[in-house]
Amino acid sequence: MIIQGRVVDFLFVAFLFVLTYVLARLTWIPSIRKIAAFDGIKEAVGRAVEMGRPVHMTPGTGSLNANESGPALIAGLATIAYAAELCASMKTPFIISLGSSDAIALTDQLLRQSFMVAGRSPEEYDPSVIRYFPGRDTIGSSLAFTNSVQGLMAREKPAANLMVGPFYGEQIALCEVAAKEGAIQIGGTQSTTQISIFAALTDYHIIGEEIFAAGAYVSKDPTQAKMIAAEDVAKIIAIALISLNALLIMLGLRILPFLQV
Amino acid sequence: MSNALRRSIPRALTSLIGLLLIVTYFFQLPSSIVDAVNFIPRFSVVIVAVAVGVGAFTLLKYHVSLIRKREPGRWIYSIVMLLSLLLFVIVGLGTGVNSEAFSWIYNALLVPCSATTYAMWCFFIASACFRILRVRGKQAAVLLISAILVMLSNAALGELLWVNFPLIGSWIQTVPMMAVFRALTIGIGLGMILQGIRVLLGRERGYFGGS
Repeated sequence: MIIQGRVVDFLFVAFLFVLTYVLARLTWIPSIRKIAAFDGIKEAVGRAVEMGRPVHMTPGTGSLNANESGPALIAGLATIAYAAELCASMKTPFIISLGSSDAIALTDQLLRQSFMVAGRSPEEYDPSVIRYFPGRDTIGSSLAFTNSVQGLMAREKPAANLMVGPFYGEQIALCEVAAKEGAIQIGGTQSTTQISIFAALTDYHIIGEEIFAAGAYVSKDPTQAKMIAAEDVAKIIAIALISLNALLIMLGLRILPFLQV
Repeated sequence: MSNALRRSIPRALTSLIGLLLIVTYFFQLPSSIVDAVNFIPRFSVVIVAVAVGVGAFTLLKYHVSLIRKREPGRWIYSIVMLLSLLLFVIVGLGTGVNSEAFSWIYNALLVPCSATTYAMWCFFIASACFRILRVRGKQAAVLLISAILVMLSNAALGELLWVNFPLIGSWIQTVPMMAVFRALTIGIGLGMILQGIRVLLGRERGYFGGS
């Protein structure tokens, strides 16, 4: 028995599950349009190689366990995995600033994996590249994280700064220090109010839901690409429903009570 | 443990726990099952607690090494850091975290330091504004004009200069900006749900590494 008030929510999620499953089984392989920010990662790592300076990456602050920051953190870690793989294959040093305590073990594992995929021995991977600074999930504020990462960038002078994940305003201070050090910058977040800051301050930025396409885009996995296509279908349906609702409201009909069953 | 197992076990656990949480959110189940499933997310508290302990130990190790090496320009600050850490731990353990002494240290030292650091961010914001608002093209010009109009609508001076500045600023924020925000919110919301589905189906693999 479905809990009252959640029937429509359940039907929508169930529909998305079915849509994703059906599209994943089709033989058709959709192409994902070019996302300059993800292509820019190669350029950023290449620049670090030329300059002989490290690449700095951070998936922001937040918790894997939180509704809002969790998905963005997963997307940020997928981007880091790809960038770390590039760094490992080009033998370029990199540093990862983590502000999420529950992502430490996961990051350690993904870096080991990235080294293996890049054809390097897992023994060559140095866990000290992960620098953990307490963030919002531990101390409720990102001040310590921001100040520590600022100091880290001022000391290590990265050639590239990659910031993809949950950010809540601290990126202004981080981008300014990275710009002062002459780093090429790539940024992206799920927070609508913070996207504009990345758009203004970084060389390449990821807009809106592009952040959640990170895994599919960098892996070129056809099944993941089909799931991104499912997102587009869902988006078209959502736009149609919103338009229909607006039309019905103009005609004096209110459908909201029916959606709250 | 083989590499495949190291990846497939966490993926299977993620799918299982995710599905359990979804089922308990949508369906009426016996309270014992709901309580048991709702207990799972609380494990993150344990992880955070362990992370704090490990973090304190790592911090101690790192700063002791800086002091031993007499790292130029840094070892003095490491002493300050270690003394502050010890002070907090001793007073906290000795008198309790709700004691007057502990509260005084927090309110008289940490709060002003935090406020000072936050206040310094205004300089970063100012320099960021300078970089952003340089007119380098048509889009930057639109950004500059919009920013000036919104600033004038928020500042008391704007209304003194022209009574319609607040109206223009309000229109920018409630019509074009809101339209963009809503479009982004819908896209991001759907993106989050679909990413969750990919994780549950074990198709989102990027965060395990090895794209």
